[in-house]
Amino acid sequence: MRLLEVDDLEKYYRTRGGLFSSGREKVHAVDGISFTMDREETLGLVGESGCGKSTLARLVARLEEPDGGRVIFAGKDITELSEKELQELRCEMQVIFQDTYSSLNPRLTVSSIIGEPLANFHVGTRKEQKERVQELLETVGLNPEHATRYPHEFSGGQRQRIGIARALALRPKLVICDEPVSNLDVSIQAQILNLLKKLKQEFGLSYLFISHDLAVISYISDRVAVMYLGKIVEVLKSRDLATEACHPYTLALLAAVPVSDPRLREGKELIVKGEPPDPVNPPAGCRFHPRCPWAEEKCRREEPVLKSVKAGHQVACHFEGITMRGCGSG
Amino acid sequence: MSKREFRCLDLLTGVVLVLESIEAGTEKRVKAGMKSFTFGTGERFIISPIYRLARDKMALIGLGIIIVIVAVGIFAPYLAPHDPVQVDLNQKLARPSATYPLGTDHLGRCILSRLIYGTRVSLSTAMLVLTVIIFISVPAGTISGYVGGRLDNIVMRVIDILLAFPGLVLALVVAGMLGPGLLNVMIALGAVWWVGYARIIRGMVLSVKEKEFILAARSCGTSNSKIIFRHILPNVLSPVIVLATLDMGSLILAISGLSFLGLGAQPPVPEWGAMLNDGRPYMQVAPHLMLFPGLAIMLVVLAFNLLGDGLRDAFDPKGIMRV
Amino acid sequence: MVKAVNGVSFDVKSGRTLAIVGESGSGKTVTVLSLLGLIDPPGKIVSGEIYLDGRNLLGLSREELRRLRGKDMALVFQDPMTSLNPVFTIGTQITETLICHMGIAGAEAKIEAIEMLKRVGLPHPEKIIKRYPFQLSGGQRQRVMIALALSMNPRVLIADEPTTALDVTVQAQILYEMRQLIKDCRAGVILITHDLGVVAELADEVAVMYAGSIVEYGDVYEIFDNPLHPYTKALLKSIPRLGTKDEVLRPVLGQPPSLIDLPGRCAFLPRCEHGAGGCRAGVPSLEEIIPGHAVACHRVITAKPEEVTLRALA
Repeated sequence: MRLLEVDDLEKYYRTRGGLFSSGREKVHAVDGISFTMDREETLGLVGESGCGKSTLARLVARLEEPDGGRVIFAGKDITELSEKELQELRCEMQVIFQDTYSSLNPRLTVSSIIGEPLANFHVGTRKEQKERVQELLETVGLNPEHATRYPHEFSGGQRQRIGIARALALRPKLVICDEPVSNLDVSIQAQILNLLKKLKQEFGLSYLFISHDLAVISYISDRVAVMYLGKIVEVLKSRDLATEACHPYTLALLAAVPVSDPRLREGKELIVKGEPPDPVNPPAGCRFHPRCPWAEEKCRREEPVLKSVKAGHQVACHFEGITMRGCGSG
Repeated sequence: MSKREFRCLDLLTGVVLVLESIEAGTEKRVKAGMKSFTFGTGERFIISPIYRLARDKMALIGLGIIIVIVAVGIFAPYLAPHDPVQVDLNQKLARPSATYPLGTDHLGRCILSRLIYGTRVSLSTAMLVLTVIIFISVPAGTISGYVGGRLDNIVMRVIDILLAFPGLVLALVVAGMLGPGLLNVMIALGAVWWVGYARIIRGMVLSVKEKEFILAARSCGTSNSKIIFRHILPNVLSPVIVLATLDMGSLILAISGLSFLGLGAQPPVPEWGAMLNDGRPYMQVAPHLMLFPGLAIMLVVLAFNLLGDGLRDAFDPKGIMRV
Repeated sequence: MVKAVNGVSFDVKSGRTLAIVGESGSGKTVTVLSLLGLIDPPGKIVSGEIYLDGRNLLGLSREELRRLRGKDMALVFQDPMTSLNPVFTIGTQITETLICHMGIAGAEAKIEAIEMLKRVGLPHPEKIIKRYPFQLSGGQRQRVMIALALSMNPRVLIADEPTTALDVTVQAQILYEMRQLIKDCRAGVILITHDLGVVAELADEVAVMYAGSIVEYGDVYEIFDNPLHPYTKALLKSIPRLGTKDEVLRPVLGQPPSLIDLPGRCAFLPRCEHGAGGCRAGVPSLEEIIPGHAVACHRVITAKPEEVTLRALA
């Protein structure tokens, strides 16, 4: 069943013009993005810094106002909701943030942090709220007796568990995870990923999971959407990621993941050179063409659109990627 | 495994301190401020700002001086050996003696008594001005920073314009226009001084607003007013308290300065700055006329600065910490 | 008292790369800061010896150490923005260093600078030297830092999380180039990282740190093929790998210990799934089990060597 539909979503930021500079420039942070998500599905959104993935997350949660397009959540266009209707939405959609230090108010105890959404919506009596907090702490693997502690008394991984408990308090349908494990040590990262997987099963959640780490994304998601400079360039099932991916940028990302065994390092080839261009002046035509080893004249002129190459697999490439893949390995 | 729990209320922050023991083992005594507790190994307890302040010797000295001075002001009628405004021209410019411990001024008034009564004027004026400043600047800075956009622009331009003038000179102009008098000095200082506070508060609000916990609060449906009162103000106020404490000294100096220029307290009201002013013509023959009020001002300023520094450390972001 | 680093010994051979890997708080950064004599009071090195080409660094004066740091021991930090001076151009910063440490004349230094930037894979080096640090991207800045570090022909290069702040595609390029550069420059490299992927890409030898001590030390192939310490094993099982969606990650449970008053037993015991009564008998010391592979674990040490290799191979 369809849970979320994002249709041609756009967000521009204007660079600040100085006192004497003539024009302001537009940065296309999110530039016409469309995708859908089903109930109880995890969609992974992967891309490098500055590709607009975090902005997209905030647009979907309507923590920022879009400049164009629609976000249809559970049948309602949430870009048109009033402040009051938005409040209702908050029960259904929650966010987990990246920075475990700044996402928890240092002056509140854990119980008041997790209890805040409950208090906002007057869920039950105070006593019931308190019990619910205890229960949530237990659910995310923290000691319920620590409810009176302050955030700085916890380690990064434990703080992220607090953030997860807060997001779960209202029993949402969709949880937007904005790089929830990027700042954590590997062993803690794996604990949190396993916890998120377990919670998904337990509460029937859907995740929009954002990360720059392809391996993390492929571990947690059902489908992966790859973003480059404000656009989605490829969407596919995550189990097919290593074998079926065919957009040159996806291939570049795959090749860039560090090897898991030192024996593999010698034969390793890089697909792309250089760094992503400035989003203020994205290249004309296909945005990836300056770094694409297979770019041709057409790529410099025309912008490719995202189209289906087979069921559940979409690519935005003039050469439909698949033929590319032959080139790449051969 | 034995479990004990201590609870006590922190008066300054209203935080309930939970001192809990996790595992009983070798006992050790831990001193937290005035009290000391016995704990086993592997235990945790929380130290609140007030305890940390209580451990800071310099801050305690500052606080002690302030308490003494406030007490002196309150009990002035009992402490002062003479009437502070009683003129006795036979005794003018007397050196310190048994009857006049700090000597007399050009009108033969007891300097000690005037200093003692002056405490009331100087301290209460400064406190009042500070209260006014905080009541103007906190809402202005918070709303400007939180709402942002056009409103912020307007408030900030007004602040920029006011800041472009040297503060004391502007206060001088305002006080000059309103005419001499303590009340007018207070209005003048308040009108000028809030600007800097508002700007600092706005800056802090902006930086707190950027924190993800504000975003998190919004995403779980917290209303704007609740965000301001629950998430922003508590994170902004403690630096403001520190700043205000450090500023008490400057304010007393400013009030004294304006009084010194003849704009503040009018004779015969005993005020430290005015006393300095009165003593100026006799600097050569009777330096004690300026020395003692000068020392009094210095002492108060020093005391507030010591306390302010201590508060700043005590209110460190990790205000309540584990030891 | 916090014992940030406790009884850590390793050696780095010229032309080889030693990776010190561990999670935050494991003491890996404190270890290198000690090597460089950069521990700030109240922290101090309580005991130990550091030899560079046979010279004990702890016996040197501050001034001698300072001279050594720029020249014989070069550093690359995680955040290049803070290590480059924002008010000078890249060119000025490189040539100054060259003139100061290598005694090359101005014009020659500039040619050398361009040459070096070319070597680290920066396109249009003649343009780059005219730019200021803020005009470069993170990847370019890190390349400049590497160029600067290698320009001194150091005996030891210390790289502290050199690619952590970078995007994956940029990280891949820098790792690729670092591998070539290290091969060429014959310096001994100490690579500090939390990322086993980076270790697999660059290292020749690996030291795994936990709670301020090295728990496993050996050749990189040995560590990846035959991890012996339960912590190393758990670490390797914690990284998600591509195309293994259905495989469940088995991370080590719990939290790393606080370094305050470490108990007199194996620090990993509370999180160890193989822990036994014998593990309480003092802190295990790092012992060579197989030539070139040492581990600090009571259970591995007490087992017979043959048994260990057999089990590891199986």
